[in-house]
Amino acid sequence: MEFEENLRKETPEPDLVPIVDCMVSVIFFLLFSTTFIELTKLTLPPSAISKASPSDDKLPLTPKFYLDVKGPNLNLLLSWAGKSPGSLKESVFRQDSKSPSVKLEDKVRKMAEEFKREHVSEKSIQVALSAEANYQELITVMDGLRKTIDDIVLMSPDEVKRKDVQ
Amino acid sequence: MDLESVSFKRRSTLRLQLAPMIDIFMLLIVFLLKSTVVADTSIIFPGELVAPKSLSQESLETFPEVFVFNDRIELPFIDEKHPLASLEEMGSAELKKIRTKVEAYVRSAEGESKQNVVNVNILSSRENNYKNIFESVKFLRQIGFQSVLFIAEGEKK
Repeated sequence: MEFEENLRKETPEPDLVPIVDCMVSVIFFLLFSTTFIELTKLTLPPSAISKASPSDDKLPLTPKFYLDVKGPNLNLLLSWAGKSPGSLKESVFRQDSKSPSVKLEDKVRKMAEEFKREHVSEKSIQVALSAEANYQELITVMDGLRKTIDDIVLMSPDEVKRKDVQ
Repeated sequence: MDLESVSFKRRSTLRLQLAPMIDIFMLLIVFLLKSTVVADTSIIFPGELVAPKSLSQESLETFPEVFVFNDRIELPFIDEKHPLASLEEMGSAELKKIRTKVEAYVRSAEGESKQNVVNVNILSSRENNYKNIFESVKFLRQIGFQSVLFIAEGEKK
């Protein structure tokens, strides 16, 4: 008598190890790709709703910040009008445009804080840089000012020439 | 001796349960993919431009993007390109034409983004000079944008 051979059906098992390897690689790729760069923004106020805030002295203060490139230095001037007009002057060594200048940011911040101590209610400032100043310097100035003054309005580079920031 | 009563302890081989592990990995991948889509604020700087660095902690918002190069300004959302030198001399007729294009773009924007299109993101290189930036901002205001946002690379102090 001939018995049928009892053939065992082998269930196919997928090789999961390379799949897991691949997934782990994908996760790390996604994790790292999301942390390459963190962008941020600096806002100029909408022109339609910008308004001058009432100054401490009832007269408009209209504070203005000027940055002039003079040789290897950056001359800074913060001036304001009002009942008792005044100004603050600083100078800082100009750095290359590849990295933001910490010194410039510090000086601008200190000037803005000093102004703000006397004129607490002032919320906007006009900013002008000389034509040859670069975008990085504008961003650094805005960083320094925005800690104390919310709204920044840009002025023409010709304003710096007219003011003749020494 | 009763051999049947003797029990042999079988050593069970330790097997790694891969199914739940794969489930978790799949969920992680889906979560990471989804989170990058939800944010919808990915801004890609063109190769020519190197973003400036800023200490600002503000997060990005989805607004139309304007590229300011050393010699030209590009508004891809309305398909406009202009040399920076021409902005100052641009007549009111041409400005009006671009303004109409911007208004049409605002009308075509749907739902929530409609409020956002009056704002604009500026992307420029850190070496670009202030005159170019100022002229670009002035031009953008003239063609109907209310708020201008400078995009920079975030840097912690």
